[in-house]
Amino acid sequence: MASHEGLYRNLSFLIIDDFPAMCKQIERILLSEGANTVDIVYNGENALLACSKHKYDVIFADFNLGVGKNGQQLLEELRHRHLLKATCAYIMITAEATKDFVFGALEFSPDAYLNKPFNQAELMQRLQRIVTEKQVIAPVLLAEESGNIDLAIELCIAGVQSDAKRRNIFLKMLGGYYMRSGQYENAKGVFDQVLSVRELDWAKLGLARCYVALEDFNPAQDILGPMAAQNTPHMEVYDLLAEMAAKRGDNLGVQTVLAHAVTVSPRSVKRQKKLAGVAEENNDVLASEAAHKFAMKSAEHSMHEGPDMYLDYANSVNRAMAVEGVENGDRFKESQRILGKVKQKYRDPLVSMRVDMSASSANKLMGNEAESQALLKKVEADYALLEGQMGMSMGAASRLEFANLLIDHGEQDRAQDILKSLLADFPEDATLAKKVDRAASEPLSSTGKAEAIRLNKEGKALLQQKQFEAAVSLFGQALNLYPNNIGLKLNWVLAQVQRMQQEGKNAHDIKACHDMLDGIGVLASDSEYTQLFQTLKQSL
Amino acid sequence: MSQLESQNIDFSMLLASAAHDMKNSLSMFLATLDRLDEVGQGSGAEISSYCSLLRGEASRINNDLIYLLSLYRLQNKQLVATIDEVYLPDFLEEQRLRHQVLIRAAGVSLNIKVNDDVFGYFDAELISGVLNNAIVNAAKYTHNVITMSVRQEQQGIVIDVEDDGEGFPATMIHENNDYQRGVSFKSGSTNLGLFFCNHIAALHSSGGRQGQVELLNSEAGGGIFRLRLP
Repeated sequence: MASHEGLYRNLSFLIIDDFPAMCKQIERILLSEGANTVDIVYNGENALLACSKHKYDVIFADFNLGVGKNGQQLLEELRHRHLLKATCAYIMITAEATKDFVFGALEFSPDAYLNKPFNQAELMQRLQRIVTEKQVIAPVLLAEESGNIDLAIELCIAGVQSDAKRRNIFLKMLGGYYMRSGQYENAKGVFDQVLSVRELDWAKLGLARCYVALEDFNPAQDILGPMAAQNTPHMEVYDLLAEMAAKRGDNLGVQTVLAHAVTVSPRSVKRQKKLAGVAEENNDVLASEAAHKFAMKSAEHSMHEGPDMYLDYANSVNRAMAVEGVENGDRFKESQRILGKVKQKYRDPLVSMRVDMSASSANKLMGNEAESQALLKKVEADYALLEGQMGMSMGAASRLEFANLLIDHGEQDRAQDILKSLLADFPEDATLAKKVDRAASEPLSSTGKAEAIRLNKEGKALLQQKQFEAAVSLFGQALNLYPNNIGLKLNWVLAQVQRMQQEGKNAHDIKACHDMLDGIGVLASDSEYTQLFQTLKQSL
Repeated sequence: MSQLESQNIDFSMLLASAAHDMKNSLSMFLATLDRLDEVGQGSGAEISSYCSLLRGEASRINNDLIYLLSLYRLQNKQLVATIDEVYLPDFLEEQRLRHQVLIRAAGVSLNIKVNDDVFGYFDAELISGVLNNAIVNAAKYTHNVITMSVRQEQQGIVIDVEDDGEGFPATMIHENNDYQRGVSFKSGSTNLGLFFCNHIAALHSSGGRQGQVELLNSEAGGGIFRLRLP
């Protein structure tokens, strides 16, 4: 191997492993092969520090770094913060740990893997191969880095023609660059060319990506569906399927795909959060609670960690409590535990207030009325103070949480005002608009209003056609989207009453109707629903 | 309910992470063994022969760990082959390097026969595990030479690991045929390796054809471990 000495003399190396003996072993090998610059760190934090000071040519990172970030989270953050140079070779050392790790690692794909145990000869062969490859494709990567995609494309085409051994590497990059510059037909041509020789996953994925970008969903579905059915480790497959389901307006479809994806790779925080969000929209409180919990756990030590992860989880536990009942009090204990943890961890007045809001809701659900009221009083004072100090920078999440808290305490009017102001302050935020409409007693966003009108019309038509069962089910589904919507609640009860008039009364359904009406609470004196409300109450 | 049960602990995951720790230890064990061998050079052949014995056993332990981890993934339906284009001369060289100390210590040689324009389509990590099994086994039974060769056929590639020992016993060849006929893993069998190799081969399919493992004896009498990949 001595012949490669020249190759390594001018390269800088970083070794990241929490096991000093392993670092030493790799360092000894590199030095004996002619390397001059070899740095060692024992954890992810120090690796970030080292990489912000020096741009390394080659990084060896163990996947398992003990406490703190793992090698996958580290790679994600290094790429995100642009701490790697374009030509850096990142080699992940693995021992094939738990089931989710290999798949998780795949999506941030390092340049090479090295499996333990390895010897000097294996390490050097892997290194030589990846360093040589990086040198060959360096001009392309540098063109990309400088934003010259046309040049990158030109260099890839030349590479395809001249380098038989790396033909596929160049084709893969070429397809990617064509897509980035919007040349989808050219990109399809490249992927088709590869696929005509062999069905390779990356080429299938590339082709599907083209179809999705062109909004040609059927062929994309034909490629991606079977891949997902085989539990493909390429996570983008699930993301694209979810994206298409969302564009079809199929929210349950989105949840199903994401729920499948997180069984294949549970550690992605982003995907868990997305799943939690869509489950929340579908009013699936248990799925949402589970996903928030997993997201929170996976976010620990990663760049996603923050008070939101803990608060979102605690609030999802509250929602589950509201639907499932307090049972043996375990959920209450869990939310207390999390809230205590986040309060201590962040020691920030805004976080503190958000903790108190969540705690007030939890106590109310538990029936600890005095405690809940005391916290509400405290929150109201803090909210006024912080709103004065921070203004818009207080953030949408805290304001939405405050509105939800007021609703829990029966103060619909004040809540409604806050929700309206949120829509006015963040007119472009579609996700927030959905959340606002969920919380509100009547839809406030333009999309929500249109949707409510459509649902009501459709439901009324069903009632006229005496399809009572279908009407109950339609209003029920609509209530999943807008659980606080008074009009929908009343229409659901109306449909039930009419159904019972035809089919006969039963105690179970009557109780369900009473529960629904009780959940509305006290209507505002000028409410348009007063009359319908009274009529329904009496007819039960 | 025992404490472990009540905490809802996933035993197979515990086993998997224990296997992970063991692989870490094996890494250090093998590295230290290599250095011990270096230091021991010149102080008589005895140390060297002990080292090679330990190395052989460590390789077997490592193979068993690979099987365990793979079976764990298989049970969770997460053992998926990630097919990519692989340049065979590099790939075989890598296998040779992995075993060079073992081969040297066994006093045999390992030859590679492959044209420099052969590409295959498979999961390099998984197939590497299969060849690992074949090579460690061949090193134990060969007299002088192990030959790894690849040839391209219309239906895919054929990788042979051939030794010049006494050949596979009939029972083993029979057992392998059982796997190919789809007879499931018999709990009485100790040949976890063969079960693993057949499974990994079968994960590779293309155009309706599946990969497979064949055991046969050459005309000269040695054993041939043959892996066909579509």
